[in-house]
Amino acid sequence: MKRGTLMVDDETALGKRILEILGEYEEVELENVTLEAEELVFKVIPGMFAAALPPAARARIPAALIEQKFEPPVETYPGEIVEVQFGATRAEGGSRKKVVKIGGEKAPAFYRFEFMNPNRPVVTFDVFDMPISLPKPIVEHFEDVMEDPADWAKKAINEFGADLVTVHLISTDPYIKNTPAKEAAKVIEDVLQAVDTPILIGGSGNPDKDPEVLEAAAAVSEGERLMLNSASLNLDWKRIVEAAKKHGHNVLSWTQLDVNNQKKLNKLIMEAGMPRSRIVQDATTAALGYGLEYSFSIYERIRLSALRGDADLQMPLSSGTTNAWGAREAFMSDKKKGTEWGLQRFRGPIWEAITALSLSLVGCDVFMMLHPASVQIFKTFVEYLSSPRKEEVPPLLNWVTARV
Amino acid sequence: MARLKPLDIYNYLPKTNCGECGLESCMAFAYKLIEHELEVKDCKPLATDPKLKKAFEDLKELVTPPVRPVKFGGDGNEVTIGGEEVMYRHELTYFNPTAIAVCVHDEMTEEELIRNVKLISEWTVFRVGAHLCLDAVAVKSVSRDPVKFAKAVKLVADNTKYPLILCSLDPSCLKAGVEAVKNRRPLLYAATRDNWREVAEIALNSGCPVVVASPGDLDTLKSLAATLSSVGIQVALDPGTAWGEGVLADTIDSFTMLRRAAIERGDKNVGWPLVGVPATLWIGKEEASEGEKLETAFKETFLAAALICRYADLLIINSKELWTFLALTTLRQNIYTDPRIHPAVEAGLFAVGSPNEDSPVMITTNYASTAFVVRSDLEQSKIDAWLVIIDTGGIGVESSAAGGQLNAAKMAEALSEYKVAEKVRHRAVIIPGLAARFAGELEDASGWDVYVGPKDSGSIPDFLKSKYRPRDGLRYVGDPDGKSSVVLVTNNIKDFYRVKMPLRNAGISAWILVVDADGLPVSEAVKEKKLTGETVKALMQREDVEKKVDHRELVVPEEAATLKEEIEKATGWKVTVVPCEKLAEKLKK
Repeated sequence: MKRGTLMVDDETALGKRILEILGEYEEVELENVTLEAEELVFKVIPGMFAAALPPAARARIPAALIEQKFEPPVETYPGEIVEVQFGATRAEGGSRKKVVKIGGEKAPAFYRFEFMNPNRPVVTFDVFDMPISLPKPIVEHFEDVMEDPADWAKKAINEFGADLVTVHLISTDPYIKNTPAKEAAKVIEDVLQAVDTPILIGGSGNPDKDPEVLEAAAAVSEGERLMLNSASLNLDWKRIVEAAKKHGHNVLSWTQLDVNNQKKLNKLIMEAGMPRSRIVQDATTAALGYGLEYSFSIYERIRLSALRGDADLQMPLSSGTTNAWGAREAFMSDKKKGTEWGLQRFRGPIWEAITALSLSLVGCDVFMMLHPASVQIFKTFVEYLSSPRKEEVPPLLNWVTARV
Repeated sequence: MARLKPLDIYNYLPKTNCGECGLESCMAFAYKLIEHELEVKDCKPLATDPKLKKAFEDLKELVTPPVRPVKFGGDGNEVTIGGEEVMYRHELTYFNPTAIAVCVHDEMTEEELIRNVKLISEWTVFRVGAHLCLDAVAVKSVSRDPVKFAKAVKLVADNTKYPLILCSLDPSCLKAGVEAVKNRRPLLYAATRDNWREVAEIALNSGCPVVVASPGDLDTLKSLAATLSSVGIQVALDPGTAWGEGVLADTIDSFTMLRRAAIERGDKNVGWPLVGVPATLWIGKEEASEGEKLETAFKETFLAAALICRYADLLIINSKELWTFLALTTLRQNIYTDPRIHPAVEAGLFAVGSPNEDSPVMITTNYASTAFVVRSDLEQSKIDAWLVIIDTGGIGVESSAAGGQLNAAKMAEALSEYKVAEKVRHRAVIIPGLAARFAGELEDASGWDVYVGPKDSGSIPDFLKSKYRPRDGLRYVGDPDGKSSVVLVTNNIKDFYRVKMPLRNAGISAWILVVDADGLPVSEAVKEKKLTGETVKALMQREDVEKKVDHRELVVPEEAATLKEEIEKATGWKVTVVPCEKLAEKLKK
């Protein structure tokens, strides 16, 4: 680097001279200079100063890194999420070999730097009590078992790693098959025989028939600590809560994208005598591309309020993630949309997987899902996030030279 | 951090309402500033008057969000990353959607480079009122050869207007790259503990912003940001993106901690945009099989999605799969939607295309996305229709049908309130497949015939073509008995109502025998032999018509006059031909 020393003999020429020097040298030091002036005006000639900037700039870069320490911004929360158990062992009055626990969080989801939450989010596969029309990528995996809910449940658990299954008794809908409640309840017995994990029980969504159907199903699975899906404000939820209380089950408190309604229903269910440790809440899952942002923010608000101490919202959260398959991006075939949207083999599962992923990041605990590939990547994600810190950091910057 | 109010800003402004910014008043300017729609320098007097210099600088400081915005790209094709004010979107809104950059590299052939660059910059999908697009091209120096890199960068720049990210840890490559695209103001990736001084020099010389990278070491990351920003370089932070046991949690933790430190703890040294690099999943995949590459793209898409939800302001991905682009841009559109804007659109009766009195009537809800999608599906298929938008409080069909905001009474009320009957001469209403359960109740409550449409509005064209038909069999209008007339028609929607409506309007009760002719109107059904003496006979037997009426006279529309004898012969009934417009008059007698 060249160095120059500026000797000033003519004050008026100072500005000009500095610029000349800057153009010539990379660094300028002023020695023994006294400036006597009321106001110094530097007249900058366009172009000249720009040409002069780089060397001057280089001088400004510190010689060494300004070392800093990053303080992890850790917080504590006054509230915590209630732990809920699905399934009861023989000792607990049921017949399940496995039980599944959710909830118990003391920090927001996957804030491992604050607290490693005790239970991971779990996946429950949807099983239906009659063959129904499902998108092709799902049917491919289940067509051999769709006639038999017990086989369907077994396959979901043994082959695809389901933590739980939800048996939807949709044939009970008066507009579908109108299967009598007692007959539908037998399906629950069959599935309980076939698998040793806990199960969840869904109705058909018909508000007039569901209370009766869930009552019958609750009665045949006395003491198994299953979950009845669901108590909601548009039906006689009290009957469902009573059935859960009487036969030792959990209950799902389901509302539609409204924090206040969720709080209200949770409160009503608790006032009806249901213990907090047997309630799970579902604020409704809108699919990726179809209002996911509402679910995302509502789940996030519920969870943050709970951790900040709102006892009416401290139940674990559940998501009907399979709604993602109602999105045309998920169900439309390659023949129709492949050239525009890419392969359905990936497009469908990623739609469901991202719907689950986004809600898991804001605190959801239970995910009702359908496709083995979406379940697999989601479960891997959860496992990776729930594992302890590794000292060794992989050489991540090598991505720059990866020849792909 | 407390949110700024317009008054906080107003005090710094000239308060002259000069209008130079294009707004009526300084207060209006203050609002726009809060919403990030304008910048302080857009107030010309403030920016140029030397006497207001202090107010100008103070205001700039005041409105700088805790996560500073960083721009890259030139020629009017800039992308802004960062500029965020809140941790959670419901607290206000997120402002600048995560920019998505896709990789190419300098060992691709010219043809490969051009093809990929075009794929990236031309990809777009129109959904919910917006064209979803990608945002930038990341050029990697795989060769580590400055000359080769510069050449590739130049070629990329010549083939896209998108902003560029130059990626190399070798300062000589970055320097050569920047020189090749001087006026494009690319983002430089990356300054690390090893090369930061040289990269800082390139950044200062070129005025380009820089990504500082320090995977797994946030102290170094913060030090790099503090050092480079101390000389006025704009930075973005890459804390490392990893997929695997233990390390994925580091990634998610880092993004969360950095954002919280910036927003809630006011740590200015990390108050910069965050960069996620899901492309790290491709390390070591050079020789992977096609299947493994697709699987890698699947994981990469998923990881990128996680970072869209967790604070990434820029993502660098490698997958060029269309489903990757679709899923990520859709998620981004969702997460960056302003939650302060109510999702409901106006309820009412709307004409789509140029509907007339025979056009179909369809019902949907006033959730903005739903109403928008239905409309655009109809428009794209050039379908003329009457769309009845029901006020469900901005909730979609499935949820509102389950939650009670959509029900039969509400639909019936809307049909009458919006006077839909005055627009059409039929009484057929199509309801969404997801609201099928209300069909019966709605018929009772409204007096309209309900047709259950598809669950997805994309299938409406198919539905109209092959399913929008009156049910065949012995139907009726009013309350007919054994003496009432029997009128023949095919299961064509228009012809059916040409028969039914005059009778209904005149208060006449009658039986309508609807023949399944694949939806053809009577005239064509005759030609195509879908309506014959035999089909009429078969249907009469199936429906036991002779047990329901005492007489043996069949009224046939004019278009089937040629079948008079054929039908009489096959059924033994007397056939009377009547033009539809005279039907009411005739049957009254």
